[in-house]
Amino acid sequence: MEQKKNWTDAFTSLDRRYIFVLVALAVIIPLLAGLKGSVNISPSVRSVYDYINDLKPGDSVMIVLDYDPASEAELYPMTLALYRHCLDRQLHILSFTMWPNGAALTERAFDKMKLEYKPKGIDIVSGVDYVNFGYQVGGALVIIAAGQDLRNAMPTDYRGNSTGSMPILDGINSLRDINYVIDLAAGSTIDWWVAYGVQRYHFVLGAGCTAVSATQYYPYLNTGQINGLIGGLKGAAEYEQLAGHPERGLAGMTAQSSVHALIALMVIVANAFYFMSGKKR
Amino acid sequence: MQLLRKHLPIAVAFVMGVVMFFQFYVPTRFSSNFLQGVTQWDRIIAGFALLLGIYSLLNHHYHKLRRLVPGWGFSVVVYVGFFAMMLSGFIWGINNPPPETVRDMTGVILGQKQTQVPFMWIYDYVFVPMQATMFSILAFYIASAAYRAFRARTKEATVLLITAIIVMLGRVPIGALLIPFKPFHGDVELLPWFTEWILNNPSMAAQRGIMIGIGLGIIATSLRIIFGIERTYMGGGD
Repeated sequence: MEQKKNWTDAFTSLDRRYIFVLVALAVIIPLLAGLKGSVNISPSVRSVYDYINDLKPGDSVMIVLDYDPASEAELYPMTLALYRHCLDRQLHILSFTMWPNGAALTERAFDKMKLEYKPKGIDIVSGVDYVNFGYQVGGALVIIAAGQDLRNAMPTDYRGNSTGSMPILDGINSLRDINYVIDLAAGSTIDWWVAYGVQRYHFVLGAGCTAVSATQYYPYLNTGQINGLIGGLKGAAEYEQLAGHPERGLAGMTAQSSVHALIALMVIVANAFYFMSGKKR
Repeated sequence: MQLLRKHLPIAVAFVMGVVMFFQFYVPTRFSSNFLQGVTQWDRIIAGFALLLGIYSLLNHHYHKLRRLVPGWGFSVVVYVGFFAMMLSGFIWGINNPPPETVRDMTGVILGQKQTQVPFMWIYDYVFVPMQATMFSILAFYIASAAYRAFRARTKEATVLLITAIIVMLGRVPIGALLIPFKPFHGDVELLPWFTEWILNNPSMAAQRGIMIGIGLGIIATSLRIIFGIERTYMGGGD
């Protein structure tokens, strides 16, 4: 009996380094194997995709990158999937960030798009096909300012060019004139967009966020304050699958699957040993 | 001194609070222009807050360096990182040049090449991996903590544990493979379906309650600030 207690105790208080090794292997092996599976498409991701897909060439989509490199693994694939879809549909992309460290990520994403689309004979030109307004200081005030007068709120782009005469902004005076706005957020900016943007200026808003914060935004989805929600890497993978560009999101799904399964298994095993050790009593 | 430190900020907060409250309900051109002006003012002030933050960061680490407190080496890293990024941005700019077309000897296009300015190179190959690494370490700690602490000790903990396992598996493709049964003759497997149900019903109900609570709290705090009852924003904990 004592011997049984010893080995169950040993398992319940397993050295954390063994767990770290297991998690590392669960991530590395599927990524090295290069497996890309398919994912179930959730209704909230499909609504974002469908809305963009139904826009006409030349319509404008504002994609706001409210995150920094800490959330890059989840939100950057989402950003690229949205950019690719918009470029495939010949939509104009307007981007900015309210996170200081996100400005360079936005520029990097556009640089990547230029590299990807140039061999296809498509030149993506700043001020014509897209505009990166860079970092905008002021938090929620940026949304109010852009809702009042977009050019006045963002007089120059990331490279310091005046936005006043940019062809991409022809016919766009404020957020009301933009066909679709999507906030990709690692923090609480989706709340700001709903409260200070949608409720005040009445445009259609979609959202993307990290998996851990997705549950926070279901009430907005239910009330129609956001028309769709892309949650975490899984959401990015769903969007990549819908848009026909399988990239980092889908590649990461196998790694995420194995880690989730591993953690679930570890919790079940740890509880089994916990009950066997008799501590419950 | 009392006037500047106490009465004036309270008066400004009261006047602006009341004016901005009524502005929301007055749909005139003057009201709209006023909002635009105030927003610009606020954004300029927020910009200065960034400068204050930079000063505060450098000052904090300067004192650590001057006293050579344990861990002062990290303060050196802060200074090196700060000035390396700032100077590389000032000297070589922060914008990459447009991609160049790479051709072979016969002029056939081989592909595209992106040259990077030092600022973007440091950002891409130092800053991004470091921040991503810091965040990804969480996965290891969460796994370890789940193994050690997630126990079905009570009924409530058991419900939480079962829900967590269902959502964890239902949010990834393996959940659909584990139980391929599709409930209610639908096209979604059991675990993803149940996960969506949890997120759309009990979880959303709880979130809604929290949001309403936060909203009421914001209104109460705003009124306290406008009427000068809440003064902690002026410092001093009064």
